[in-house]
Amino acid sequence: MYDINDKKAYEVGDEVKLYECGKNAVKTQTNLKSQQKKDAYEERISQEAELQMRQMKVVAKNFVKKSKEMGATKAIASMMVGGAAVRHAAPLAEGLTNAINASDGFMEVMGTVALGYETAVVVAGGIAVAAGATYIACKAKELAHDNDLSGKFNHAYNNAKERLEPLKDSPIVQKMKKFATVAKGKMKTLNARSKMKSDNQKSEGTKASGIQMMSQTQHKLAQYKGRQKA
Amino acid sequence: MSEYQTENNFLIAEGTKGEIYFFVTSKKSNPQKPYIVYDGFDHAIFIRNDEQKIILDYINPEVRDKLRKSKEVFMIETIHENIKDTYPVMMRIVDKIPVDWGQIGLKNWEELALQL
Repeated sequence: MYDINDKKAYEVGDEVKLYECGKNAVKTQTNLKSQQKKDAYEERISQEAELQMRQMKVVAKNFVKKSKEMGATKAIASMMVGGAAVRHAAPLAEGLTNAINASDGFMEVMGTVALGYETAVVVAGGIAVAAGATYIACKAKELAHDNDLSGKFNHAYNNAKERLEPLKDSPIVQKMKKFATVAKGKMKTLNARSKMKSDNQKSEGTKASGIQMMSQTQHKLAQYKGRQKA
Repeated sequence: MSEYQTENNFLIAEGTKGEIYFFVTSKKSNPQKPYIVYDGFDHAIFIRNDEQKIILDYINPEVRDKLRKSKEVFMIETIHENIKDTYPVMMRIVDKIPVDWGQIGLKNWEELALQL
C-alpha cells in the first residue's frame, strides 16, 4: 500500500503512468490512432506521387517544346520553363505548399538575376495557366500588384492565356490539370495532418504538466495527514 | 441528473507503487467524506460532498481495471499547473451504476471514438 509519508518526490522520467480521460481525451486518442493509419497511407501515396512527378517532368519538357513550335514569344517560353522548373523543385509528395514556395523562390531568382522581375511575374502566371493552379495565379497577381506591375501582369497573363487556349484540351494540359488536382488534395491532407500534430503536441504538454504536478502531490498529502492529526 | 456536473477533461496517474491519482480542476467549497462510485465501465461518479456530484466521464480503458481494484485513490484539485488541494477518496465499487448515461448525452468510449 502506498505510504503518504514516503518522502520520495516524483520526477520527470519516473515510471508514472498517465491516462487521459474525459470526452476530450477520447478525441486525442482517436486522433493518434488515425494518424498512424494516415502515415501508412501517406507513405504509399508519396511513392505514387514520385512516379507521377517523373512523368510530369517529361510532360513539362514536351510542353516547352510544343510552345516553341507554336511560335510562342520568349515570355511564353519562359513560362513553360518556369513551370517545368517549379515542378522539378517541388516534388509532389511535399504538396502544393512547396510548389507555391518554390514559385516564390523561382520568381525571386528569375526576377533579380536572369530575366527581370516582370518576366518572373509572367512566369508565375504561366505556371498557373499551365497547371490550372488558381492559388499560384492569385499569388503572382498579388506580387505583381505589390510591385506596381498589375497592368503588365494582366497583359502578360491574358496574352499567355490566349496563346495557350488552343492547347487547353490537349492531353498535355489535361495531364497538368490532373497534376494540380492531385497536388491540391495533397495540400488538404497535409493541412489536416499538421492540425492533428498540433493537437497531439497539446496532449503531450498536458502529460508533462501532470508529471510535474506529481512531484508536488506527496508534499500536499503529507500536509493533509498533518491537518487530520491536528 | 441535473445536479450533476461532468468533468470532461482530466488525468488519472498511476504512481510507482500502484497508487492512483485523479487530476481534476479545482472546485468550490470543501470536500466532505468524498467517495467515488464506480462499476468498472466508462463513467464514474465522484461524490465530493452532499451538494457536489461530479461525473468522471470516459475513464481511459487502460486504467479501468486498476481503478476497479482500488480501495482508495487520491484526488488532486488543480488550478492551471498548481495544486490547490489533495485528499484521499474512498472507492465504492458497485456492479452497475443505475444511471442511463445516454440521457445526459454520454456514450461509451468506443461509440464516441467511432463518431469522431
